[in-house]
Amino acid sequence: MHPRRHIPTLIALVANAFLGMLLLEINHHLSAISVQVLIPASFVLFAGLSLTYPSGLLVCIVAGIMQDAALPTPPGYFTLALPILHFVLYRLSPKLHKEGGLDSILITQALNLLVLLHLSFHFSQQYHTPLLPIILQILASQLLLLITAPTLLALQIALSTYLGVEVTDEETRNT
Amino acid sequence: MARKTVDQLKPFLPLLGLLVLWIVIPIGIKRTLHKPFYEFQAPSWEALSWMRDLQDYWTYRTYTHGELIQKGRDLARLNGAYRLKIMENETLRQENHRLEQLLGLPRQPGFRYEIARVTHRQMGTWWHEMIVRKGADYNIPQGAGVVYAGGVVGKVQKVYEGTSVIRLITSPNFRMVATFQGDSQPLFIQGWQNNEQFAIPEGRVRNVPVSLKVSENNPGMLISSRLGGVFPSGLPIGTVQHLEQSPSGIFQEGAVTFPTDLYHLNEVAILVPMYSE
Repeated sequence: MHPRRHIPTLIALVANAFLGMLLLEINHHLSAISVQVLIPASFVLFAGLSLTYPSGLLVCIVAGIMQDAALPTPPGYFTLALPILHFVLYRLSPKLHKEGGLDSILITQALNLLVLLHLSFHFSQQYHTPLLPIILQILASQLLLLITAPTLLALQIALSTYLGVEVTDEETRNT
Repeated sequence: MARKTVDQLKPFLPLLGLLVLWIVIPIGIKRTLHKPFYEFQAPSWEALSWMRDLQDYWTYRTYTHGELIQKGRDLARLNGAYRLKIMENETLRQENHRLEQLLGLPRQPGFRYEIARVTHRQMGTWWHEMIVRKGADYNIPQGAGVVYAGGVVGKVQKVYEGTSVIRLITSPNFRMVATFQGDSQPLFIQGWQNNEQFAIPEGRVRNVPVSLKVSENNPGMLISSRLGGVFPSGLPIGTVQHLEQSPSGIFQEGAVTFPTDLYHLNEVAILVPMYSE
């Protein structure tokens, strides 16, 4: 097995780690207005569109475990949620633009919204949180996803290409 | 036909396997997974907070001499006032100790103040917590109270090797015993999320006796009580401007407004009970 085949997987792992740290810093500054943003769909975008299924699943499981360790979510929430998102994205990937066209953005936004709604429902049941702050928080998260996801995807694809690994349709179908 | 079905089902299998594995493995093993991944990431969070501190340092380096002299003078005045308070408190503490010995009363627990820098804050509608740079390496106990110059911050929820997670007073899971200033009747405070006021930290005070009256012109100041055993008495918590009858009809309850500094803290003090060491 040629080691160059693992380069996109490593790029995805490192990119997810940096994305986690970036989110942490953004949330630290947004805490001044008591708003927190979460963009779980951006962790699975490159893995779902450009990696093979096993590699993408591994990347998403690692990202999920890291997010669960960093955030006070229910145990194993992102460890299960991210692989499910990845699965949906992977199944739809033959019909989507690998470089992140409008269709990929819409699917990512929809998947992210589902996770945030589920999380908000879980916490609002526990804490009786009013609706307006939740809506604002979700809108902020979706806006951040709209800005960061295409950029991050393009960066990862460009880095893979620069390191000599072309991410093609044939690769994603070889499971 | 059968081979086609198997091929179609193949991608489901790893996901299904993961779901089954996660349901089956004991909660103890899941918790064991949590700590190593947390500790793996903790140094990167500390590095980010060090970079923020460095950024602040270079910002302060741009201040003019005149600005620094003025800030130094203001701080010197504040230090002078605090020094006098400390001397008064020391006299009161010694008097307290003498009376305890005279009357044969049990000694009140004292606290050691462990100053800790905040690595990052996580506050939104889902959770209210912050992570600080000290943990088991500084003998921080779980459940210890956390304060700052303006009053109560929260309690230590979890302690790791080099970091601690603090649950803020604004968290709906946070509860503490308090009293109104000038009154001794115990009440309790819980964190709350308000619909209208976004960046203003709020809570709810409950079990307020009907005899207590507050208003906008005469707000009640809530202070900590040592009844909970976590905080010393007298630390400011927040203000109450309006009370209404509780659903039970026996007590009153109302909204507590905490200081807005809570959402901007970079440094806190953890109260380590001296008799636990």
